[in-house]
Amino acid sequence: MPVLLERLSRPEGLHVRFQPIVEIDAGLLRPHAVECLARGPAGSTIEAAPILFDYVRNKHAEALVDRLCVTRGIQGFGGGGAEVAGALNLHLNVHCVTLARDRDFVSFLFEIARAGGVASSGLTVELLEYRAFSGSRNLRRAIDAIHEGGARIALDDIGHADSNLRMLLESQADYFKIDGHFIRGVHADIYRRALVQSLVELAPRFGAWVVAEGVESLEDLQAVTALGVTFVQGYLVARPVVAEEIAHQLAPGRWTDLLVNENGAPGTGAVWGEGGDRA
Amino acid sequence: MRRPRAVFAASGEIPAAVAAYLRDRGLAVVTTRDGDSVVELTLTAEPVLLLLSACLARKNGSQVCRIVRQLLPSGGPSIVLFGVGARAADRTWAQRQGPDAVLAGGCEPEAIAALPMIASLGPETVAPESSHLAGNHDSGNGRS
Repeated sequence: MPVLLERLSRPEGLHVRFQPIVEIDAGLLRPHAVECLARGPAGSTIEAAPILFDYVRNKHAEALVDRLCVTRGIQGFGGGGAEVAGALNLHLNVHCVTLARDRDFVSFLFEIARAGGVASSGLTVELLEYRAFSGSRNLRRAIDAIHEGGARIALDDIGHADSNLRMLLESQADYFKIDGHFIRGVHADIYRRALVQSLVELAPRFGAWVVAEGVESLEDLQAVTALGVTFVQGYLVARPVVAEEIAHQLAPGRWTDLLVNENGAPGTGAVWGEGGDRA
Repeated sequence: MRRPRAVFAASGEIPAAVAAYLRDRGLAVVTTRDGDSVVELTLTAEPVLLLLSACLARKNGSQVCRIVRQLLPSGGPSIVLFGVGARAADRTWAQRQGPDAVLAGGCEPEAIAALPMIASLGPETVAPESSHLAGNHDSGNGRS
């Protein structure tokens, strides 16, 4: 095994952060889930996520690293306590190649969740890098197994790079996650608004909900709210936190200060709840 | 007049007591194991009742519920989602998809009998000439 992959397998190798996914509900924000985000060993050349996963894909080690990521993610999330695990869902990124080729992955995932005290109904598998696996029978079986096990599916990075409309048909996704490229600047761009609006209208016909990724400005938050987006994620709302800080997302008052009223107009203008910071 | 139908969708068989209960209420029971089939059946067989497991292959029960409510915003079937997770967050999620009732446990006769939209169904909804047609559908239209 290459040295860096071996290093990832060590307890201190791979580390995870959790970024909240927040629901917009009648002009207020409520925490809905956290997405587990993996990082390489601190100080290593693969610490940054894009470099880490380029390396992993280059080594064809997606399944190995996905298993590590979901294990660390579930352990960290479950360690947040019953209150966290009962109130929030956990989104885990998984490569489609893993689901297509590692036939035991889904049962592994559910077993790790059970051991970590995380209900399968609280899990969402975010599908990554799916271009080459459109039409894969094994992927379809894995997707069915995820749903039959009570977990949900999110289609990540919609609109970006190798995403395609075919996967909207095949993924059976519960969430359409619109890539941040289409969200940043949406407030001032009629074409971005048109794209977001079309996905908002399309999603319920697929039984899905829309998540706007990369929300980084109040104007964009207001714009996606006015367009009917249900869930948002991005640095404006919350940066990734370590596992020990997940419970803080549920703190009374944290999310009450925001956002926009039902007409999409600014609320208090304060994006964070009381005591919040832009850590 | 066609006998009104209920669609039961789960990865396992329909409990015999539930099937019997529904038939006693005058419903022809169609069974299937995946959510895509439920959507198709809803559009073609016009059921009056959907009993959906939350954990279905293809589209899960929550998704089917949301799709049906989109396709048939008024006059669609009553929908019961069962097998919903035990967490409060699971129940909240299930309810926001628009079902008429949410059951945390399985689809048991006692549980569904207590639901007003099922209890209100009765043998009087069955037209006398419909029994043959109903019999053709009791064995299921899906993969079960």
